[in-house]
Amino acid sequence: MSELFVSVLDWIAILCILAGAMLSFVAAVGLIRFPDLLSRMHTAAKPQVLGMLLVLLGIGLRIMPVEETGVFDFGTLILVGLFQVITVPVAGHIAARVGYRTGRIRHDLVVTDELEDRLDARRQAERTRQNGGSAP
Amino acid sequence: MNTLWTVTAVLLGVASLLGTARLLMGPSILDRALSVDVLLASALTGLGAYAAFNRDPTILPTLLVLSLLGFVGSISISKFVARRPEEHLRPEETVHPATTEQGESRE
Amino acid sequence: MNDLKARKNQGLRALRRRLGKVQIPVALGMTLVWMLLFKGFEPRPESLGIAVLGFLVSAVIMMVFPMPPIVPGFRFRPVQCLRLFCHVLGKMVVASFQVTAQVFRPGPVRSSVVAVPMRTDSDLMLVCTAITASAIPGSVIVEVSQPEYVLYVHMLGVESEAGVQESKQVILTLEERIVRALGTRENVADLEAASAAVEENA
Repeated sequence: MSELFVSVLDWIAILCILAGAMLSFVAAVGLIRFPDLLSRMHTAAKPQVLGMLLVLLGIGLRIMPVEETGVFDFGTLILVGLFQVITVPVAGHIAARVGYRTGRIRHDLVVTDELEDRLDARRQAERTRQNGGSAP
Repeated sequence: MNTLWTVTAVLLGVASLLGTARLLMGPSILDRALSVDVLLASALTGLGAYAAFNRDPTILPTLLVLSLLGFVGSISISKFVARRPEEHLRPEETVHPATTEQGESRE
Repeated sequence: MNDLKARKNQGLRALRRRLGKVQIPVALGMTLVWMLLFKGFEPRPESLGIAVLGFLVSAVIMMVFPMPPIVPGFRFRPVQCLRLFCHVLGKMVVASFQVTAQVFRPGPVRSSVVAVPMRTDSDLMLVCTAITASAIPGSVIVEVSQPEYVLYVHMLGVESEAGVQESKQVILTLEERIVRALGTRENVADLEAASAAVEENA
């Protein structure tokens, strides 16, 4: 492979990794700045998915063209990306759900809350049913 | 090119410091879990950057292990909190009275 | 003697029931992951062994930890999948910039929890939509109501009624792309009927 080609790939790779690092940084700033758990979750998910994909792309571009030891395996990169894309949203959803249900949400910061309305309606229905059942 | 690598390292370092600050500040266990996730993401990015800088593919399996470890960790913390919601709140944090009632119930 | 035979029969029946739990497409997917883990795609004689072993391991896993079958199944459409991939990737990049702007903008951050009813009644489509919506920054799934197929999405920075409608539209577009890429014919028909009904009302 020609010298020039490798150096162009190197530049693309470093830009990808820099973007990934920036996403990490922004997520950390958001972690400090945002007031409640749910909004912090938005910034946290970013380096974990998009940032990780960018870094993996960067690694691939930088190692692939000069690899001769035979240790490098493109499959590992694909697997890391795959696991990250599938597992991070699932973990995020479970944490968000537990956070919402245990009341760690600042209701003054949520403008429209359609889930709250629904939970209220269901609680109301349950209460009336219980009252009706216990009445002689 | 070397400048860009340095900038990457500095950004990741600052990100880890900020993440540690949130880890110490809390306030709830879920916030801490979230900041651990961000720290882990920074660590993953850092390891990836190291691998790319040295053109050293031997680190890549570590990325695989770390990414799965983070998933298992945050899931187990969430499940732990869901089991007993009251204990992990400080007194000044008011529990929304009705939401805890059905903390575990499956929708 | 008879007792032993009956027990053997019972064991065989249990084994057959367990074998019925093995879903071939899912097992193939797990085999793919196994082969990626062990460099199974290089042209060498061990690759075949890795593939066979991987398939056996996935079959055993599905027999020991049985999963409910994927109903009503799915159809894989490569071109639409590519479009979905590009769509999600583009959305991720754009949304990342929006969230970054949100982080550095002074003042309090307000958000909304939006209920988005799905137009198709397939668990797989629900899960895929939830995962992609969560992977895109700016939206986190708070709650999934499986019997009613409603997603409750926490949208960052959405304050007005117009913003709520807009974010609902974003999730619905995502659902449409996913159904077109992976849904069965019935799912696509459901989707088209639902969007036709919406257009008539408008």
